[in-house]
Amino acid sequence: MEINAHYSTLGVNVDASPQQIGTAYAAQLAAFRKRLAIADPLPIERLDALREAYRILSCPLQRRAYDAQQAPPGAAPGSAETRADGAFGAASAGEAAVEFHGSGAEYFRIWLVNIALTLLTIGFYSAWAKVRRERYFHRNMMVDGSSFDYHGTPRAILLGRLVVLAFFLLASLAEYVGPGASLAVSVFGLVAFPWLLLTSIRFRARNTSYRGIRFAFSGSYLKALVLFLVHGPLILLTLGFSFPIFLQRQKAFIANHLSYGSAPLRFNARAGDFYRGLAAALTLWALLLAGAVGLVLRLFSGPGSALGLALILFALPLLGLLFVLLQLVFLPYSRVVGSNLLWNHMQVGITRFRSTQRVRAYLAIALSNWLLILLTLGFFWPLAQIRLAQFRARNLFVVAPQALAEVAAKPREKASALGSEAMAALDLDIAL
Amino acid sequence: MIDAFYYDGRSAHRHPVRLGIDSGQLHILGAGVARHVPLREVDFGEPLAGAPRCIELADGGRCEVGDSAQQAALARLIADTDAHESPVVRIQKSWRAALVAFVLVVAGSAAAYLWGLPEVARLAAQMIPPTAVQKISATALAQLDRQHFSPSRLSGARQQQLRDNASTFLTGPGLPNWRLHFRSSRALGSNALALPGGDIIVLDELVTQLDEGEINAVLAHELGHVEHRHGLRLLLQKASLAIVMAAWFGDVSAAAVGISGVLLSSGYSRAAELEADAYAARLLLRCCQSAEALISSLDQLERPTRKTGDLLASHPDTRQRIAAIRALSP
Repeated sequence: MEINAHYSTLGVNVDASPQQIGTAYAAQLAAFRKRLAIADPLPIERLDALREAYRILSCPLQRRAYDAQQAPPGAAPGSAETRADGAFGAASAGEAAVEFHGSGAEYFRIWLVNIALTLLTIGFYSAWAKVRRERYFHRNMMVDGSSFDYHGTPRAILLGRLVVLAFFLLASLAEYVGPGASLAVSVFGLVAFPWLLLTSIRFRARNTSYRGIRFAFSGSYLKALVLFLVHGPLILLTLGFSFPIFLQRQKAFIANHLSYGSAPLRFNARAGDFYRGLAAALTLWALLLAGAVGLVLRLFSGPGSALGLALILFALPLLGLLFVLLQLVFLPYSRVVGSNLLWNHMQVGITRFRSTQRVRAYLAIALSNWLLILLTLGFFWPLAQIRLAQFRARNLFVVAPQALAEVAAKPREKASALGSEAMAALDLDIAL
Repeated sequence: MIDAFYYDGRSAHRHPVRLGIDSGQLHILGAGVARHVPLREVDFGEPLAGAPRCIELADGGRCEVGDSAQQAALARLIADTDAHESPVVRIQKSWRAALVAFVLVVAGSAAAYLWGLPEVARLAAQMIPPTAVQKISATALAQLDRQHFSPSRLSGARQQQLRDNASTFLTGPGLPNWRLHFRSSRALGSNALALPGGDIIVLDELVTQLDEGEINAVLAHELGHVEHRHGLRLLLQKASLAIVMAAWFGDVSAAAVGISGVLLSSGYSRAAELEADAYAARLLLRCCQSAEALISSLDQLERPTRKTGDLLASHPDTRQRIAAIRALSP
């Protein structure tokens, strides 16, 4: 029996108030009904466990008796080291901090050796280098005393790199063959991109494991195509105001098609949540656009005005400023908001996540990384990666990680799934 | 015995176990777990400072050894078996090896940029079949006609006269075939350019600015580009640089990729200009005992443009070019 199992079943902390327990119970029941409605019900045992947990925890007397039965936190072998190592200290009871144990000095050496060997082998070693890099980051990422792992093979990665390289060479050659060939390659690229992306995500999921269980991705090509050919251009058509919708669709596409073993991930944030999250950035964007339109209108109504002249003189620097703002403010902002929304609205079974990333903290790390990489002509890159991994881990907590222990591996796919096997045999370095 | 966690690969359940190695087997023992796996089916992974030691079994099972003292004990056990640590792992652990790797990276990339890539591009450009080169050349000309050029305003007689002049000067054994095209372009001004297949395009503005000896010198320079296949070589070099720079700076910023690509490839195109100058100077010295026409054409074409500095320029400084040509003259 897991320690404090009733609390993790409900997804609340051991010090939760009666109201919190009631709300959590209602939310869990709602989740059951929702799954029932989409004809994908959760196992009935879990409903029983939920009812039992609520029966005990909602009654103060029974709850006290139950609490007394449980060993004091930290005494259990499984969770002892997480709590002792809870270096960041912000994880509350029932939560496990995500820990990153990688060190800059160690990874810097690994990276240097990787680069040197890649250079010596005119690029072929890069596939082995990638396996070493991924293993380093996966194995150093720990939740609840277990580490993640990466299982991609250099052969598959090399094959994928060759495919992408061939496409690049073809595209750059087509430019010189003529406009027809160039157009054909562009259209092919547009149609092929979602497929490449899909293959890449699938490869990554299949080759990532936690507690000996692999992840899996089941997103379809058609959905990826719609995401990029409909929601992508829509951002341009709406002058950027549909970006939160795109972000929501993108996160939902990934999270809702991922599973940990046989346990599917669920993501329930709506576009409205993304609009709320990005409200400040969107307001600033609207003001900037309104200002630009106002200036242009003034320019055309009053000929020869000093303002018009100034605008013409400073049009290019202003555009540059807008671009810098986009890069330095909007992109980091949406990345942080997107990460927080993704984790905070995702669950596997009853395991949930809590993400506490702050825009300002992320910006400080991202900007200083960027500057240091440029100043060191690229040699700061490995340390920058470590800093980012530390930032992500520091700001992520897993609620009720013990529940993951019951997850079973996905049954092996039938041999007829030859196509997907062939696709899984190559890694294309594309990420969202 | 070593404390570890065992996962069977079928469920995420964590089994606390103890590990031991003897008689060619890894023994995994714990409550409800008793496995004896031949060592050839075990991948002991590599030790990392902060991460658990991950041991992968051929059937998908795995063990994780988290505690550093236990990891050290395991490393001693593994050392007693036949399993050898890979040389890469040993190199990664030492700062001295890392320093060697660093020097190797810097010196290696410098060598690849200065000699490796130009040499590979030269060989590759020679291997492209002539029919393909002609096709590339023809489409490039058609594209230039659509986007940049307008028809020449020179009279047919004048064009024929220039062609005849060039033929007497630039035909002979060892010289590549060429075709002369006359065009005009306000944007490009006084200019001439060569395409890989031997198409040399001369703009009206250049014809009106230079005398016939100087025009021939410019044509000889362009023929140098054709002879050395500069167009194809630069194309290959730029594409390779773009790929390498995207791999190096791609995660940082697109601007860094673009700027570094331009900076590095402008070095290649300056080298190509000097090579074409030398080719033209040798031709001129052979026929006319003097490369002065080439020098005066460079003087004429040098317009008072703003200084972009040596790093970004696609053409070397004119004085530098003239000095290089003078150095070739006896």
